Amino acid sequence: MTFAIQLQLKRAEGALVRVLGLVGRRGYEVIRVEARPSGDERVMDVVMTVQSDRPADVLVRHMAKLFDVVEIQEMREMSK
Amino acid sequence: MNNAKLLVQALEQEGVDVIFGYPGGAIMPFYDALVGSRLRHILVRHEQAAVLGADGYARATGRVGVCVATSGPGATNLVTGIANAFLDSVPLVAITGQVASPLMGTDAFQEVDTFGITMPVVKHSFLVKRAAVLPWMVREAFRLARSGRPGPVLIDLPKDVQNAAACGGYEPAPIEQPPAPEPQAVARAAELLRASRRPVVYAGGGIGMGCAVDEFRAFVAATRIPVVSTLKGLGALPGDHELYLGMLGMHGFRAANRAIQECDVLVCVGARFDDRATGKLSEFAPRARVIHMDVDAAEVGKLRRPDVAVVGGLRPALRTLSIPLEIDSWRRTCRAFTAEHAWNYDAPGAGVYAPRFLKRLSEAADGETIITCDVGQHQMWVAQHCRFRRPEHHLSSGGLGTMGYGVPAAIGAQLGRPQARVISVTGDGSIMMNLQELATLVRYDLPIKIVLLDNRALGMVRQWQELFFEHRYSEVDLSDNPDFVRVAEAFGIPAFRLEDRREETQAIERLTRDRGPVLAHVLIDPQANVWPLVPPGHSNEVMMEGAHR
Repeated sequence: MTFAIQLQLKRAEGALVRVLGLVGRRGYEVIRVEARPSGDERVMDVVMTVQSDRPADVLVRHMAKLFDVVEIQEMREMSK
Repeated sequence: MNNAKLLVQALEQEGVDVIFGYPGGAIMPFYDALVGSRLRHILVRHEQAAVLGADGYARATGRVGVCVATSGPGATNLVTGIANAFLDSVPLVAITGQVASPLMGTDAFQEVDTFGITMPVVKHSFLVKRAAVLPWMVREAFRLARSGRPGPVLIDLPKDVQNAAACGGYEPAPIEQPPAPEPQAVARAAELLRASRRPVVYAGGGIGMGCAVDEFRAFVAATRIPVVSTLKGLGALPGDHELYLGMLGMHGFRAANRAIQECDVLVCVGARFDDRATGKLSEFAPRARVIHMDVDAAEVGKLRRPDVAVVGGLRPALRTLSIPLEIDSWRRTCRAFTAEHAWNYDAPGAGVYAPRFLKRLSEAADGETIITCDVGQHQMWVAQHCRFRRPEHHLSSGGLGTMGYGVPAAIGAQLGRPQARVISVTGDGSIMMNLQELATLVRYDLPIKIVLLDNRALGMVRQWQELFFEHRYSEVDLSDNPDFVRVAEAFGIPAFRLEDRREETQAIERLTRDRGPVLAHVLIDPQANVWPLVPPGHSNEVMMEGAHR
């Protein structure tokens, strides 16, 4: 299954690496990732496409726990 | 005042009384600031013992454990212990020195990327690049370590930042209560419980870590649901409680595993469907609807999809769910399981039968005794045969399975609870992993009792090679062990050897009465195995049994 996750991330030391590392460690594969500055210089907007047999909601809950994740805004299934 | 001094003051203001560490080049400003501080620093002989000591301190007291190391090898020696705390959800703050900021990224002497190396095994980590953010980072580190699902937090502190002038003062972190679960979820859980005929509680480490033991016991008293426990859940219910069926899982008791397999509602309280507990996951509690209660939302559905998820603090949920249930017939069935599978402690022979010896030791010890374990066969025998009155009385490396945990954890526990009797049960493999800490035990005059069960082998691996690798023994022989009595005595610890079961009473007397430290070197049958055993990949219904030895 492939799905998209959109999140806001603090621009803190290692924040993006921490998110990407979590995705891989939990058994998901990053297919595409885009990170760009947001209007607020303290945060960045990240959109990623992720693939796995494992459920999307579990990964989202893991991500939501990260200290640097300000908000997980969206998750949509793209294909089976 | 420099930042190193500010950090020491911050630790004092957080109520830290003991820290475990080892100095070195990049952490020297911090050690300089320690001089004259009211913090008690425990100088270990290897950094791994600093972090495992802080872990034992945290588990025994419920407070945040603190350890300190220098950059490079000091920091990498902490990694196993940080991972240990991560997998067992132990509140910990690890402080590491780092090379000065201008040198970072240049392969400087004793430079490693501590922040990067530890990232997968911390709840969070901070690299302090500017003096101004240090107070905020320390406060957040303590808040994060103990809030929600506890865990380890790393602060990596370059030497120049330690030396820089401090900016501002320090405000201790607030103590946060986890959010209460949604009332609708608790109501659905209550409905499921009321409709159940064969419920079982699957009690995990979250009960103790979440300070919910009283509420949990009130819940069990009200519902009178039979209880099985994970390794970390031992002591949530007293080991002699009439509704307690024992530990579940790979080396669990048959009564516990049978009850799980036959239950219609499984109430998972602060546990995480770990593979050692569930066996083959698809066949675990096959007829059960599941209520999963956990402070960590990410555990919900990670391995088993619950019918009702109760996410948030355990205490309010348990209070609401303390309702009477009509399950007399099921309770009788579970009692029959317990009676049918009662352990037979009558092993033949004249030697020491480890399960019986540990049971007798546990019965002779007072209700406040703390037992720490290493990892292997002895660890499972402790879990099976010792009875615990509180979760904080049983300190065992559950998730990571860290050999070498027992003695450093005992040191931490004894420093945190000076009045408690602390016994460290270890094996001849495990003790050698942190043997040097016997010197720490002596240096700080800690009256820890060490029970070293010696089968002249890496027993658990040997058992698996016997059962699953057709007796092809590969690198498990330890028949060339040193004379452990003389080793202990060389460190200044009184020691004795126990081989004959007729001398058990005298040995237990020493272990429960002596005021100072002592090491009991207990020789056991090298062929002894841990039973029962669910073979890897099988359902918990498939439990192998073997001969008592």
